[in-house]
Amino acid sequence: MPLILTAPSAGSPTEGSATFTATRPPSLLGQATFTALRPVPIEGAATFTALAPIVSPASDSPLLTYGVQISGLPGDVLSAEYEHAGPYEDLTVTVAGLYPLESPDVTVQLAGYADGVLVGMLPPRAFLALSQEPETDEAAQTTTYRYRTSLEGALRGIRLPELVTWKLNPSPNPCVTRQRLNVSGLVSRVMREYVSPAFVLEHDPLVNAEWIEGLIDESTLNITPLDLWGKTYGLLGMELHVDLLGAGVRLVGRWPQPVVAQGGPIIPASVRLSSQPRYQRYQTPKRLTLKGAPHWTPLTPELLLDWIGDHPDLLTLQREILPSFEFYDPPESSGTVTVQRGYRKLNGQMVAQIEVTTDDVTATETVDGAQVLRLYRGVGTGLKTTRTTYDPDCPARITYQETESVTWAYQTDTETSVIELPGPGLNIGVTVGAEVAREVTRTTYTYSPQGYLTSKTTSTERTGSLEQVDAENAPGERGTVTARETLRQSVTERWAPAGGGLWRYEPGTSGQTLLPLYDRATGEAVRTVAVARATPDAPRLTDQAPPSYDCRPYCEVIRDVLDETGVVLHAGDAGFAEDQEISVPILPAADLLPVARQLMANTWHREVTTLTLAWPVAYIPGTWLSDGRVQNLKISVSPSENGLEVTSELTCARLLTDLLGPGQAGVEAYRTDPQQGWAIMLARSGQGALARVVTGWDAQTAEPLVEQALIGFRSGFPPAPGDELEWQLVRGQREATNARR
Amino acid sequence: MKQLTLQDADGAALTAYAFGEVPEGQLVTKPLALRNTGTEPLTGVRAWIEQASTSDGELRATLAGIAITGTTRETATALPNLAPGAAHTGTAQFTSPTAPTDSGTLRWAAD
Repeated sequence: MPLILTAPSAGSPTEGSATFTATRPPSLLGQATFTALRPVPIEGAATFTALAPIVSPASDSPLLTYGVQISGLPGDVLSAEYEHAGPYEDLTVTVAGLYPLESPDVTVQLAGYADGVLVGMLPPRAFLALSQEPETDEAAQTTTYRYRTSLEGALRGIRLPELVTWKLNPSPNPCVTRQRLNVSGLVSRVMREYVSPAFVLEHDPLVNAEWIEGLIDESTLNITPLDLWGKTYGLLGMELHVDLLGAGVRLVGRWPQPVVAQGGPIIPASVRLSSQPRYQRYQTPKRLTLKGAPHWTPLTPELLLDWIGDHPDLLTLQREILPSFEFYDPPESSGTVTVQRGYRKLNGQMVAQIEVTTDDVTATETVDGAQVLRLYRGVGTGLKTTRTTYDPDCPARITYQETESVTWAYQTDTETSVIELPGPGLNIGVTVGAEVAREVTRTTYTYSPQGYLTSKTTSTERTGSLEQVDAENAPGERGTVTARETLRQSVTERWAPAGGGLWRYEPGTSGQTLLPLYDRATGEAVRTVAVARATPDAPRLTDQAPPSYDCRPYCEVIRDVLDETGVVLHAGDAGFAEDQEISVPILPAADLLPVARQLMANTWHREVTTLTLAWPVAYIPGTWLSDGRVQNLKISVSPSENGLEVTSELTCARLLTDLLGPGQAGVEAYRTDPQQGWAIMLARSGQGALARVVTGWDAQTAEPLVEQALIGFRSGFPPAPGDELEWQLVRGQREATNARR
Repeated sequence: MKQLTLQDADGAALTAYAFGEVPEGQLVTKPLALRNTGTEPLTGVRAWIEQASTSDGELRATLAGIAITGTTRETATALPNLAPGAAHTGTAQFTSPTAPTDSGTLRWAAD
């Protein structure tokens, strides 16, 4: 704006002043974060098994001969026993002679022939590690060696690095995106890379399970592969077994008991030395409860309002809950005064407010001895607008606030005009008099890099006096009323840590005041003069800390609601054992029912058959025969009249469905603890709150069971809609015991 | 979500399958489908067969008309991309093992 100075005309000295002010404009900053995640390859596997045809002896009384090759031992083999119970292979072998200092590697290969025809065999097995010290029998002059083949060394001995991606590279803003990791994929990868390259899962009930950054979290740092198994499939009771792979083994994850009804090749009764079936029924629980991963709902303002539903004070709740909203209060009237207010919220913060007051104003003046009076009805008497700027890097803290108020003069000759209010919220016109001044209060906040408020400076400009051209003229012949003197005042506050939990607080006030100026000769007040002065206020130490703020970026999601999930299976008359509850906090809610049925099958009635054969077989645990799934294989090599003879003992288990099948177990909704829990507050209600209380989970519809209920407040804490309330039942009423924002 | 599932002819997920006895000189067959059961299109679909020894019985698989000849992740047989819901159909076959039991693992992966 150009500054124009005109020379005063001679003889008419004129004084004038111009005030130039400059204020730091509020910063306008913005930011956008872009993230990209490296795709995680997915993998899967399926194992196919085939059996060689079972060969039966051609005659009823065949001549049995054996091929026993147990090599590597220091003495002649007297007896041996091979056992495979699932998790590992054991070999116990006794040799003639005393060799307590030997720890030989042993290879075992067994074959059985009937009338010279191969009818069964154990393929070559290598045993390289003793599981116990050699045991000697000095009286019998024998040494017994015990071996175990397992992958326990790797399973228990390796410490894993951190494999959870977000533990190494956390998402910059979990509100925008959360990293996920498939449980099945990670477990398979760990087992294949660290334990057994040929690892497979025979069943994969966690195929859809995921860890989610910050919600369903996990870390692999410094745990063993077995620990990882225990945190995942082990929670379901699944076990790690070994299958034969060449002369060695590979790791297999499987249910300990058969969970499906499946057949297999028949071992004819004619070749069985014995066959003893028995039932196992008393392990089936009456009720099986499976608790799964929490059901995650990102609670947005819109969803919260949807949960609130039809509420008599919905408008107020909308104003409180919606993060970006422009609204106004209904006009408040008292007598002739009316106050109207408008607001603008942006990203949850109040960024602009306006307040306008209208009233009747009476202007009186004595002109030529007569009193002149003019009444202005419903004209503006006050207009205050506030604009607030927040730190884009820390949306909760204010960096700048400006409040402007407008002053109008009403005289008997004032020409009124109509101004349109700039909003927010209000879209009305107000009749006003002559604008005299705009008084501005500016507050600037600065913060330490450590996050606390370091200074707050408030400066105000107020009109100190007015002036008017031709002020002495009759009404209608005067000029406009304008501000003559503007007074500025600033209030500063500073904080700094002083140690010992104390803060140095330095308040200060400085500004201008108008003082009357007297003519020394006449002693009459001539005019006022603005003088600047500071009000001394000594610094002091205080334990009152300045405010600090949560600097998390703005998030559209108010909170992550995690509802309990679960399912209950009822075995009915088939249940004999005590109720069983299993918690698998990574199991997706959608998979609860099928996995619960597998769990129930794992405990279901079964027929267990132990059968013996007069030759070696290699039907290791996991092999399906007509008697069920092989659970245990024991092969004994013992002396006989014709040298060493070999017998095999197989234990098979199959599901029994004579009472009910596991798939027929009744399904009940999972019920949460009725005595206590967490709820989401929806709205205030007298001495408490209306809340969304989850009472259970319906696994068949995969939906939470929800009711709206009153939760009383005993203490005076003020939670707000969207807050989480912890409650417990007290004399039949839910009472809040805690609240979490 | 990305998910690739091997299914049988009924659409049930397949993680293990026992062919049972396979008579000597015969080949048993199981129909398969490798289906994109996720919600995102899958690229880099590949499969391979891991088996300790093929001399005593062999697992063979064909998907989308392509014989799976890869035996490791590195030598995996490439298969066409899969849109959500789409599948590569095929078969798994096992020749009669000479050892009492034999197993092979069909593995698959996608980017």
